[in-house]
Amino acid sequence: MELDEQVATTEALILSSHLFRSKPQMQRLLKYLVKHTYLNDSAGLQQRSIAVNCLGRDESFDSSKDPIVRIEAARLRKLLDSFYEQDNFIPPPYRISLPKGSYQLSFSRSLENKLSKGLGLLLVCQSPLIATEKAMQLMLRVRRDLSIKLADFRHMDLTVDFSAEGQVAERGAIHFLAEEQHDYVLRIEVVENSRDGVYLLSSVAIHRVTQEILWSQSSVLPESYQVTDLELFYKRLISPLIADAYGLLGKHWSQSYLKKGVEFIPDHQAAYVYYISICNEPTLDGARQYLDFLEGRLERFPADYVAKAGYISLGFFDFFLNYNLIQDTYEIRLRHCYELAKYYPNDAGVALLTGFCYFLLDDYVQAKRYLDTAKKLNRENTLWDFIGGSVLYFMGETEQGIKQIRQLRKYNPSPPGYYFIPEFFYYLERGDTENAFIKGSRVSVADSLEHLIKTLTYFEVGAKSQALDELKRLDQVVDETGSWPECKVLANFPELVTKINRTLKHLRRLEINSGTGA
Amino acid sequence: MTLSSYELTKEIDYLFASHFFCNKPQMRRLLSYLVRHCEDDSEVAFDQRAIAIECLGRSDDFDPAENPVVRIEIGRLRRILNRFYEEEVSRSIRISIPLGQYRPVIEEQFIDSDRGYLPELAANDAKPECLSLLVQFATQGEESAALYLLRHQMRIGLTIDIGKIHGVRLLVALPNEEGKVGDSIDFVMRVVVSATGNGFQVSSSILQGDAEQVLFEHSEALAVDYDHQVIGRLLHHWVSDYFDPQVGQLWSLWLELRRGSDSGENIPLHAMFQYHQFQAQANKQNFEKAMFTVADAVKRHPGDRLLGFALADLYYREMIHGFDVSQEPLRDGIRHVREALRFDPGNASLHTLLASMTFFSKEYDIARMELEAIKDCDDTGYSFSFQRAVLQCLMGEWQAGIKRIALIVDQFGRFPAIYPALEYIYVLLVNDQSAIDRCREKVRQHHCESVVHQCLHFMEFSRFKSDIAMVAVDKEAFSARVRQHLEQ
Repeated sequence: MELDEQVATTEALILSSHLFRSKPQMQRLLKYLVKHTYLNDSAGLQQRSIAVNCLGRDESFDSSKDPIVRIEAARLRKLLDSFYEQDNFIPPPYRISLPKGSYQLSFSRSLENKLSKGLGLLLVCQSPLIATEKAMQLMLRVRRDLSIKLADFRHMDLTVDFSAEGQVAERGAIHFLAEEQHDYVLRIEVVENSRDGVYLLSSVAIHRVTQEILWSQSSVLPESYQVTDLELFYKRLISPLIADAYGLLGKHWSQSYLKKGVEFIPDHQAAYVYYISICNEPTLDGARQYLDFLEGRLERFPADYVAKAGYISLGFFDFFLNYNLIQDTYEIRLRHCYELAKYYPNDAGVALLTGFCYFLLDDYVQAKRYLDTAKKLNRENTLWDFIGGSVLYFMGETEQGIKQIRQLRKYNPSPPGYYFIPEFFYYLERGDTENAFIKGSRVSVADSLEHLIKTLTYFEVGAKSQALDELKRLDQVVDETGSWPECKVLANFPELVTKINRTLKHLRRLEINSGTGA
Repeated sequence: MTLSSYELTKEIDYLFASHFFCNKPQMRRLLSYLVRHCEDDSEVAFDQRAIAIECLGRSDDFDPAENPVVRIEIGRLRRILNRFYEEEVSRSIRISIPLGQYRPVIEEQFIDSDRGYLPELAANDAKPECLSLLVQFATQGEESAALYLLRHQMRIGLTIDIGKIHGVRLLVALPNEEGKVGDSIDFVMRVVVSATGNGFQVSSSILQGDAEQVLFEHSEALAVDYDHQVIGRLLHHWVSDYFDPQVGQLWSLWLELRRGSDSGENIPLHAMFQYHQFQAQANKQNFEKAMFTVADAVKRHPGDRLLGFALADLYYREMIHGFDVSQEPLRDGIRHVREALRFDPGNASLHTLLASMTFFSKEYDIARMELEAIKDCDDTGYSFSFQRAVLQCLMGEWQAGIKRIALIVDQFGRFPAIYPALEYIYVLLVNDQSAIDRCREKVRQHHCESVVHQCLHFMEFSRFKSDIAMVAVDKEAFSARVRQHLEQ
């Protein structure tokens, strides 16, 4: 059995501590419980199994007569607690404890642990000390809702501040609550404007180290607000800040590590840095680096969820942007998805990726089924909505796919540039030049596909010299990947491919003519 | 105890921010628990068991006779508090835990001045190419719900508005590990709200770093039933007046601050320095320097939003002023603005620049579509409003454009060199004999003859619907007339 790196580190640190060193029975028990907790093996965590398989009792063991397991567990519980309460103590990645009434260990990140698994975010919700009961209730509700919604994002280490004294916002005083493991502070404030009969909901995001305000927004909520009003507020906060290509925060976070050097941070964090930067600004080089990293990581830790999910998600960009880096067959990738689903049966991302793999395998019926499931499971991640919508579009379910993608702009007026790609193709196919131009000119950071689209965009509106410019850039980057019109992305749109080919051919002729002319 | 809980909360926040507490969550929990209960009549909350269970995470079977954790932890907290107040002598409140009891004592202390308004500064030179601003808010007099609301509206409005300005780094007084605030702060903006007999008074003042000397001040009275749009307008005005890249008053001071540190080694800083130098004095010599350094910096830092925007703006200015510096300013400019937009797609100012540049290159359909894409953006800043109005004029809507420009120029009392040129063309277009000579004088006085020529070159007569009855319908004839008049 291969333990997760951090669990293994934690276990090793505990076993080698002076508290455990001379207690072989405790060592055995801890190892046994870690293993069976990790495997989620509830049968192995029964008193009988523990007694027989770990504490050397024979098959005739009867828990009602022999309290050995309870006694030893209580000893271990105390020992674990004292391990974490030592002076001058460097905390391991996890806090392992044995809750009463159970033999299943609980793994939590210890409060003092400064190593976040991804981006550390502290959520602080407040309203003034003098706030009315109703405003306070709204604030508590927002805090509860956001704690649940934000916890959906696995790339974040969310801390929610529940302390009662954090009610006053003054001179930035509230950010004093932030600690070292919080990379960012998100402060939500609810203030009542009784004169106009509204609530003001504001959000401010701050980068702890540089103290910069990265984001600031304010919404008005009527006093008699509906659930839908609140939902809209959440979406408009979460999409641009956290969800769309991992948002402003993800971008800020991953870029700061890329600048510093990914080799200086622990692997489990690097996995997120690479992944987020690929979602943010996909490039062939970045994808290559990420793939190298993932392959190494999966070799050592085949059960690493982040790495495996990253691998399958990378598959989407690999396909969408025509990189063709991933060698594994679609069947193998689908099998990966099923493995992930074993551990995370209710995860929207896993369902989405499964649907995507079925799409690659040309099984559209299954693909749609999984995409549907993903949509139902997914509450907040608008990037997944986009990926789902694009897969639908490329599958030939154009209207449905476009509708799903268009919806996203209600929440984020300036989404990542590649969100406009399906709409561009949609309008181009219909011959709607104006809309194709508007969408096409907003496409950005999508590697070679961006240049293909810009070439077509400018050609459509008759800006030939700019189209030729873009064609040049396209040729510079496309050498390394496959050629565009023959790729699988547009396989379901033969007419569109013909049109694109015609345009490119036309431009190439122009290029040659202007070349000989000069 | 007569202290307001508001004051006390502030003090606790300050304590928690200090290096004594900032890495000790357990100590913070303990202190806030004790302070919260310190007005309780009973001793229930100060029972060792209660503290252990409610605050230190012990279970119900906690026995103080066996486990000394509460005594140990309170002892630790007592020592930390004592050390804190030994260092921080100028606090207005002092919290202590006398020996032999767990109930804290909170005393008010008399201090003689405003000292400690700015927390102590630690060295940190992040992003010198930006203007770093710390915004502080305060209430004068009694706190009330109405004042809180007003302060909140101002705070959020200001951070949103300043966030739209390129090159201003907005900071909060967030302490570092030692509990100190970074000193990369160039200016402090202090906003004070207070209640008056018939409404409110709001004022903003700008101070340099931690000096107490006030550099600029604005003050405004608000009626009790003020409209929140009034605040919106007020904040737009403050933000433009202080920070707008073209007319903001703080940039010349920023140039002074950076002059010494500008060794040329920090490329973005050097570039932004030259850029603002040009903004302060828009002549060809400064333009050449700015163009050269900014273009070079963009090459070294591709994708940098701040530099990207500066370069886009410079290309636009080159076209408007007719500086003959770049080989092909229009082609390179459009290419660059598009590149800058890749990394900053939602930036309305960049879209306006692109619309203007494509208009200059006579790609009228594209210009129109670009404008369409940003029509819903509220134009708040001075420069942004101005640019859009200029394009509006050149596209034929002279009356609306000039009116808009006159309005903002009037509001701020300052204008860029392009304004007299536009005004002059406008009075000639509508043949306003009474103003023609005065406007020509203004053009000469501000040396913007070349801008007049550029505008004449770019403006479109026939393609767009005009909102004035023009005396001239033929562009060539009109241009000739203007040139002739200008040379008289």
